[in-house]
Order: sequence, then structure tokens, then C-alpha cells
Amino acid sequence: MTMPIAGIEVFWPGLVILGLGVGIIGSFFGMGGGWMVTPGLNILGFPMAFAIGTDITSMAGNSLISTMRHARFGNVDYRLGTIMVIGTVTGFEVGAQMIMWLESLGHVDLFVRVGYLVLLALIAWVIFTDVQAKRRRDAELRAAGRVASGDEGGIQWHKTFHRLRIPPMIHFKTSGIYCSAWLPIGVSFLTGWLAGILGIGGGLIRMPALIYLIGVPTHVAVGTDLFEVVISALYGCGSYTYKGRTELVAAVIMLTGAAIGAQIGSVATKYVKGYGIRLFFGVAVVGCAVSIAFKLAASALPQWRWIFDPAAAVLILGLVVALAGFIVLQFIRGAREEIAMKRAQQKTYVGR
Amino acid sequence: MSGFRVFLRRAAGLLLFLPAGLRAAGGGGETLVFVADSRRYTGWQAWFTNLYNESLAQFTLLTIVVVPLLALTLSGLMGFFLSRTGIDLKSRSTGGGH
Repeated sequence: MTMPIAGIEVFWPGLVILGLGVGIIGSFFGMGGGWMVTPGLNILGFPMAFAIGTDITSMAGNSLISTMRHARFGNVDYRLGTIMVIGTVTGFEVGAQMIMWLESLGHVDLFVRVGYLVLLALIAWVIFTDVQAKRRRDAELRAAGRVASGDEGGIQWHKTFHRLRIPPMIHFKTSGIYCSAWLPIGVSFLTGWLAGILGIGGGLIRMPALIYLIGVPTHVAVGTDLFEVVISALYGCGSYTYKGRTELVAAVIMLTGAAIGAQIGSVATKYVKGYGIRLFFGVAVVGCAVSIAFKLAASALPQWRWIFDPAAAVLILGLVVALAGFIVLQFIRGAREEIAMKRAQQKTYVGR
Repeated sequence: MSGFRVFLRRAAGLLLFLPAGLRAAGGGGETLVFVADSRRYTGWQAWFTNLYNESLAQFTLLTIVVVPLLALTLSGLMGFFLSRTGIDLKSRSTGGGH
């Protein structure tokens, strides 16, 4: 199929499959998934100039579908999301202006990639430390004859931040937290600034920030993050399209796959416990970090580029397939159990 | 608490590291302008590529209208089919509704 703007031939079922995979993973983890789509589009033969704009345009539609489904489950804290949008947009603009100023001084690609790599390593370290702490705590509780449940247990940094009593204090009902409004504004400014500097959507940073710095329960963090992704992706879609960098036909084709994937991923969050989501989010972060390390290695050792570049693409797409497969399996298992339970309850009800 | 201190130390290291590294580099780039080859197409594709070439503002407007509308339509359709399976799409509860 010919893409009318870019004028290139593209294997269109590949776009549907890519949309499906990103839809599943993005709606399950609460992120846009730009780090997965861009290499996927490159493999399908997309020029880099159109890859980001097309990616962000399909992301806008994909995140809208996911947010609507998560909202039905009560996973979206609109009050928190709206407050955070202010900080995110301001932070993003400051970061973007800063990077443009730095670009005028010289090539920044290498340093941005190294910074991104360090940040991802930090996020992965936080997540795995948290999961380990939770396991240890659960084992202690079991030994004491008690049962641990929910998101309680691992890293509790948010409790330190909640002690800051700078007015205005706000109660976020959906998230079940009471804190200073400056906490989400500050955190969103920081994550937005980092996203602006790194040239990414920010879901990969915001989701752990919501959990560990603000104390939002995992499921609500997923939904609220997606709500923010909708706004930022729509803004990005308008911005990139106005610069002529969007292949709308490709984005629409990807969206057909993403519509199915987003529903599967969102519903799967019903069947996977908060720490399960955190653990696999950590795996996704590690995969993303390793692929960036490959890209860095390719820049440092150009003679080995022929092996590092395909290795990075294979790693990312392999990770997308593995994570999407895992989520689909969880969805099927959970849906089967739910339907069987409902049928059993209906039988009991009729039997009375 | 020690884990938190380590995190803060590493975050501070990252913030300090970035600008210093960025200042050490050199060179800049120019903005590229793309033009779609509308001569190759007829019908809606010709209209589409001409719109892209003639007015990026209108093309942007079309994009930000089409994408959410399509997303809402596809979401409704998928929701309809998924609800036929018997999964409760209105609550996080995995138990029955009785």
C-alpha cells in the first residue's frame, strides 16, 4: 500500500499488528508507547522524518480509547490529571526550549540518549527494589499469620512527601490521597521537563512518578497517566502535523489495530494485581534501556552498526511480542474465570 | 530511607550531568520542508495530498478531528463486541453482579 504523503510502499498489515501490540501494552501500563512504535515504523520502511509524527498521531487515538475504558473502571483521577497537565505542559515547554538552546550550541543526541539511559536504569532500580521489598514484607506478614494485600508494602516515599503541608491541600478522591497541590504540580513539572529534554511522551517516567512520589494506586496511576497522554499526544499530533511530519493514512491504519489492543490491555488490568503490573512495567523499562544502550554502542562503534541497530530493533519488537502475549494470556484467563463465575452465580440464583 | 537518599543522589547526578555534557558538543541543523507528489494520485488521494501541500493548517485540522472521531467510533464498536462476551466492562470487580 502506498502512503500518499511520504510516497513509500508499506506492508499495511504490519501497521495493524504494530498498532495492536502498542494498544495492548500502552493501555495495560498507562503509556503512549513511542519507544515501541518508532523502531517498528522504521522496520516497516518509514522515513524517520514521518515516524514520530505518525506515532504520536496514532498514540492520541489509542490513548483516548484506553482512557475511556479505564474511566469506566474508575481508574482515572480527573482532578489529579488536570492539575498535573499544568505542570506537565509547563515543564515540557521549559525542557523543549532548553534543549533547543542547547542544540544551538552543538549536537545533543548522544547526551540525551545517555541521560535517558541513566533515567531508565534509575526507574528500573526503583521498581525492582520496590517489588523485592514488597515480597519481603509479604513473607514476614505470612510468617506472622497475617495476610498482606493491595499496593501496601514496598517503597513508601510518597508518605514523606505527604507530610509537606503547603496550602492548598487537596483530597484526590479517586486516588484516595490527601496532599499539597504543589506535590502533583512539582512532580508533573519535573517529569514534563525530563520528557521535554529527552523528546519523549513521558508516560514511562510519569507512571512510576505517580506511584512512588505521589502515592497513587497502580491501577489509578495507569488510567490517570493515560488521561495525560491523551492531552499531550493531541497537542503533539497538532504540532507535528502542522510541521508536515504526519502520515495520517498510516496512523489511521494503526488505530484500527490499536482499538482492539487498547480494549484488551485495559480490561486485562482487572485481572492483574497492582504489583504484577509494576513488575512487568520494570521489564519493559529494562528492555527499552537495553535497546538505547545498543543505539549508543552503534554510535560509539560505527563499524558494528550493522549488528547493533538490528539488535535494538529485534529486542524492542521481541519485547513487544512477549509483553503483549503475556497480557493477552492474562486477559483470556481472567475473562474465562469471570464468565464462569457469573454463570455459576446465575445457576445458583435460578436454582433458588 | 537510605534507598530514598540513594535515589535523590542519583537523580541529582543526572541533572548535573546533562547540561554540562550538552554544552561540550558542537554544530546545528536546518528545518526540512516536505512536499507530497500529488501527480501520482487520483480521487481522494489527490485531494488529500493537495490539501497537505496547499494548507498544513487545514490538514492539521482534519487530522485532529479525524483521529479522535475514529477512536471514539472504534472504541464504541469494540466495546459492543466485547460486552457480548459477558465480561463486565463497567466495574473492576471480577465477581458476579448479584
